Amino acid sequence: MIQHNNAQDNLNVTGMPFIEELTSNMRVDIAVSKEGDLWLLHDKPIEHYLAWLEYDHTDRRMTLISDIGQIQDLGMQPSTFISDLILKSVNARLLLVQNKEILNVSNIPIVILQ
Amino acid sequence: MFGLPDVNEEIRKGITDLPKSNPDISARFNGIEGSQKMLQELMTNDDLLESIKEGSGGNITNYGEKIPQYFDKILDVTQQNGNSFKPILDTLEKNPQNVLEALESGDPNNIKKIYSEPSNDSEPLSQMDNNSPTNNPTELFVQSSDPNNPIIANLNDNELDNVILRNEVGEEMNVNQMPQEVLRVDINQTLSPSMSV
Repeated sequence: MIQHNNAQDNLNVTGMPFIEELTSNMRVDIAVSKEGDLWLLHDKPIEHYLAWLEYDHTDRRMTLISDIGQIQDLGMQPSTFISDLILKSVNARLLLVQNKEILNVSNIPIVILQ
Repeated sequence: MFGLPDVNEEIRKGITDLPKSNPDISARFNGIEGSQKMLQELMTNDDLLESIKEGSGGNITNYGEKIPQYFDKILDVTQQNGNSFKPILDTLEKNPQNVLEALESGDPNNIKKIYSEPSNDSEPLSQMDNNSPTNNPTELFVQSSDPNNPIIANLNDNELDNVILRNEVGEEMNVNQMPQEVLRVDINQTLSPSMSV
C-alpha cells in the first residue's frame, strides 16, 4: 500500500486530494470470473461519482478515479491469482449491497497498467 | 428525389464521423457498456433514428448540430445511471415503444425512467457479460476486505444461483472458517445469476 506522508504527497496532478482508502470506510469484496468479469461489492455508498478504475498489475494496486480527478486507493491488494484474472477485465461493476439486497449497480471502465 | 441525399444516411455518416467531429462525445459513448451494440442499433434501426431526430428538436438544416447536442444529454443520463446502455437496449428489444417515446420527448427525465424501470427479465450474473454458456455454473473468485464476513456471502438466496464461489487462490471456500451464511452458499455452490441491473 502506498502511504502519503505529507501535504504535498496528498495532492495529485490536478491538485485534488487523495481520498482515504475505500476499505477504511466500508467492506469491499472483489469478485472476478475466469473470463475477467469483475465485480466490486461494497456495503456503503461511494460518495463521489466515479469516472474509471485503474489497476496496476505490477503492484496489484487498484485505484478509483472520480470525475473531478480525486484518487482513491481500494485499500486491498488482490492475490496474484485474482490479479491475473483482472487483466482480462474491460469494465467493473460496482454493487452496493445492504440488507442482503443489491441496491445499486454502476458500470465503470477499467484501465489496466502493466 | 433530384439527387438529394438521404437524411438518415447523412445522419448515420455523421454518427460514424463523431470521433473526428466530436471526439469528446465519441469517447464518452465508447466508454459506456454496450456502446457497440447501441451503435449497431443506430446504424440499422430506422425507428430509433427517427425518435432521436424528433427528440433532438432539429430539422434537415441543423441535424449536424442538434443531434450531437442531444447525444450529449443522453450520455449524461447514461453515465449517471450505471454507465451502461444495457437497460435501454433491453427495453428496446422487449418494449421498444417505451424507448422510442422517451427519446422522442427529448426529456432526459423520461430517459431516466428506463433506468428506474428496467426490463423484468433480469439477466443472471453468470450471463451478464455473455461469456458463460447458459446453465453452466459460473466460478467466481472472491477476495474480501473482511474475509470472515464477505459481503457476497450475505446476499439473498435468489441472488445466489448457479455460481460456484472460490477464494482468492482458486480453492473452494473453506466452509469451516466461514460464517453460517457462507456455509449455506457454499453447500449450494450457487451465487445467483440474478444479480441484475
